Amino acid sequence: MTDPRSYTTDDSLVAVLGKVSLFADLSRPQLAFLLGATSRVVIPEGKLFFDEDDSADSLYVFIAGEAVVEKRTAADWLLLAKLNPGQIVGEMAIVDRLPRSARVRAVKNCLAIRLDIAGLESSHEIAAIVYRNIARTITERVRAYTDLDDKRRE
Amino acid sequence: MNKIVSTPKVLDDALIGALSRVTLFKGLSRTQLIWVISATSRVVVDADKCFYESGDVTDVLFILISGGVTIEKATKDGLRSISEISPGQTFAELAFVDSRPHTTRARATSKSLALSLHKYRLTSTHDVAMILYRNIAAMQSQRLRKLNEQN
Repeated sequence: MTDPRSYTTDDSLVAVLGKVSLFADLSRPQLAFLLGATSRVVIPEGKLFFDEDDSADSLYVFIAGEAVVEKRTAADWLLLAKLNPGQIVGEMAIVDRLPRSARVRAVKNCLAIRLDIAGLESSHEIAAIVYRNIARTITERVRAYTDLDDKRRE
Repeated sequence: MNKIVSTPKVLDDALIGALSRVTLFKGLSRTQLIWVISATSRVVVDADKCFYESGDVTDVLFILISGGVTIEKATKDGLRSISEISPGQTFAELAFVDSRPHTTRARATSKSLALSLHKYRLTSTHDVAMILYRNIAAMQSQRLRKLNEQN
């Protein structure tokens, strides 16, 4: 696992953002602008990026460390996914403004980039591309569900 | 066959009022709605004809103004209706954002009028594009949340 302390320069973070599917089609100057609209957050081991049912006004790009996505069940917390560097969390909530449907917990110290709605929409051109990419990502998941549903019916 | 009637030149207050109630256009100002109308074409499709067929690549979003549309998917047992579109609703959002071929067809259940918005028109106006893509993402997100709950 990459040490979070190795991501200290804007150049290294712009390079990370450039590989994130949500930021596909953004030019390097646009990525640099976007980075300027973000904040870097360090989440200590055992702490939460956000909790289930929290109100949502930001998404996170996971940069380094170890973190998991968990959902509450009757008895305990169900592990939904482990985050990989460059992965986005919280993108659905920033478009539909509904409470978080799961929590994200740092298993080890983590570094992430936090992008809030106001920061994203400070450039309409960049926001249009990012929202289109979010729509594409969610559409892929919708298509996967409907394909699965079709197979079940056959 | 789809018939493109005209690109509206005269601003129609009733149309602006109708579009302002469309979920996809939530958050657009009156000026932006006027731009949307000027960027669309009016399409009339006769009963039992299709706005698009499965496999078509269109890059177009439709807003149904009058009539009715059923979205149908081919199955081994024939065509199955998966959604009914009423005036004021939009269709073809999935292909609009990912540019993949349609996996369904949109058949008019009666003579229908729709506005069609081509994706390339959005490249010239970032503020409208931002709001429309955000609204499409929100609509798809809510659809995905429902699918998650059902499964």
